[in-house]
Amino acid sequence: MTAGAPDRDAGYEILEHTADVGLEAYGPTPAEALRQAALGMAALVVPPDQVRPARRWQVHVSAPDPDLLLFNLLDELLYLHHVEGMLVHDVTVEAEAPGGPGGSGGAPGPGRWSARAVARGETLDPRRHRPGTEIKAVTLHGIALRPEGGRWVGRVVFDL
Amino acid sequence: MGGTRQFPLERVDGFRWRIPRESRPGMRVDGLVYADDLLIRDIQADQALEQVANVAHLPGILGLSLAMPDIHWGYGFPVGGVAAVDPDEGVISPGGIGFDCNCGVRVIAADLSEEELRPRLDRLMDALARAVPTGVGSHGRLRLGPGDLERVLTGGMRWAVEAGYGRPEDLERAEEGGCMAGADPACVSQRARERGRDQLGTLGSGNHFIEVGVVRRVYDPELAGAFGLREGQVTVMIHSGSRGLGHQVATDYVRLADAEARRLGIDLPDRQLACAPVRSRVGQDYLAALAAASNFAWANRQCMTHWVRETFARVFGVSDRDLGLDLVYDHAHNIAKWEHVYVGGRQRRALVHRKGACRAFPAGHQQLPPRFRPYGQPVFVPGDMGRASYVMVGTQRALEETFGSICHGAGRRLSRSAAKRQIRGADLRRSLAQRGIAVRGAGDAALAEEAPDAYKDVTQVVDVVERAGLARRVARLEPLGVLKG
Repeated sequence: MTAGAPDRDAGYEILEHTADVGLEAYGPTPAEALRQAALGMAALVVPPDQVRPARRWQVHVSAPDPDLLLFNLLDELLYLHHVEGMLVHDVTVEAEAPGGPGGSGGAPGPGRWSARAVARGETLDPRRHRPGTEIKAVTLHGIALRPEGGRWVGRVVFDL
Repeated sequence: MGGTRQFPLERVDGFRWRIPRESRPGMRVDGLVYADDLLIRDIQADQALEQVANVAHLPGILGLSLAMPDIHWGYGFPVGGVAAVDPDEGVISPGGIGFDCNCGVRVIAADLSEEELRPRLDRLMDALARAVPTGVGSHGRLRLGPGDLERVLTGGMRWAVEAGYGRPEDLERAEEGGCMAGADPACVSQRARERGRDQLGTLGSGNHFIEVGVVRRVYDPELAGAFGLREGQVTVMIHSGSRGLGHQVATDYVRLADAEARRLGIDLPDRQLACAPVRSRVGQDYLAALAAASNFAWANRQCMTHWVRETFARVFGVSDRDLGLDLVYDHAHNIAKWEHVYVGGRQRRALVHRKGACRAFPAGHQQLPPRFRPYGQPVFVPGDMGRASYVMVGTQRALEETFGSICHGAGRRLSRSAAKRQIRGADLRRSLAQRGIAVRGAGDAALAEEAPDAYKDVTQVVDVVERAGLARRVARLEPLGVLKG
């Protein structure tokens, strides 16, 4: 389930929340919904079109359920943003459901969902980038990654 | 989303609204919301009431699930939520404290009048903006050596004062003496340390600020005098927390508590309420990590205080002692602590969660240091950057009714995106300048998010708290200059 190029069946939107900010991401597969969520989170910080694809970061996460897989993936990317100054230009995501085809190395354990993401981007440069929002954390409030009406939808609220 | 209009609310009196436990299966106690007829309308506009009801599901919750009048939609707990749990049967919920462990406020009082400050206000604000790192991803001026971070995590404000960032007397003017007992750095992950390592002494972003203000009005001269405040005097208010270190501690333990709650089959209406029994390994480790992160926050506010004092001294060409610049008090508004609370009229030990709420112990409370015991502790309720902030003191009634807690601020009204749609940052900067309020730090978009109109009117919030008998006004501070994160 590798994410393809964005199309009308995939995307994300920012949801209103009084103090914080929510995100809804969707795609034909869990991987594409995860990818859109990662892009949506990145866009809250610095719009991806203002980021050069100069470097690559790889992350691998797993979780007992798809909701937590979304949480773990975004949290991992957020950690790289905070500690290494990672800004995202684009992301690719592969995801596996439990019992799906095992990948080489880091194969999912029994009953676990897993995702592998490769982010292309660059390190934050205060001379060129003006980060708009500091995302403190990903929350579990209303977190979801599930099939809805023939597509996969991810929902998440960030703590700002 | 939404749909809270029909949420069952029973009016108790002019300032109290009850959410009966029967309104949701699984609620263990009633909810109680403090608001007047106007504020309750704002509160009903988002999902905050649902969250008050959700908190009432926590195992071991005592008395009531409380909400202060500045309550607004959060995650897990509402912002402005208070809950106490039983030491044996209860759970601790990292989401019930918030991601910014020991986010809090302190006030410093200068021996300076507004007239003396005015001619140097712009210079002072520029110098403060240079002295205190602010904004997204800002790096601190401190370089911690090997072992220093451990000492910060166990020593809090004490570490900062011993390292030369403050005065010994600062320590008696902070909740817990600025150092929470029981902190264990071993419970703070490597990731949390990495995120915090170069952020000690940084303000952060979002709603964090340093505000130079003036005591515009004193309501209780005796109490104000005891706190070291007088009319016309310049003050500095600092609002910040535990930075990336605390955010990561919260994230780590939300994840662990989520696994623990699932393992134990604790049924929760919102996954962000993830919790672990207080007595469990996860619960105990989180308390030790929360204490460590809280100490980081106290050290953080203390280091910034030191630079504020240095900056005033430089701008006025005298020593910081000559300008007073005494710490009035420092307290948390995102924390969980062991306290002796009243439940059903009887005192007992409980773990009190405060998320966007302040401890407000009244005169005579045994947990207050001698300096404040005759008066009660000061409580700071910051408003938005264009209006005012209040210094208050809690009452015995708050101790008996709200586990000794009151509101923490004005509370948001508009989402950040709605604020940006409605308000232009550049216009706001100009209008604040016309009113004599100098703004530094934030870009126009960030400024719009924090615009006065994005918040409820703090005076209305404080009015409800006072008329409900939870606290009294001591003084009103008005802004002269704001350094935004």
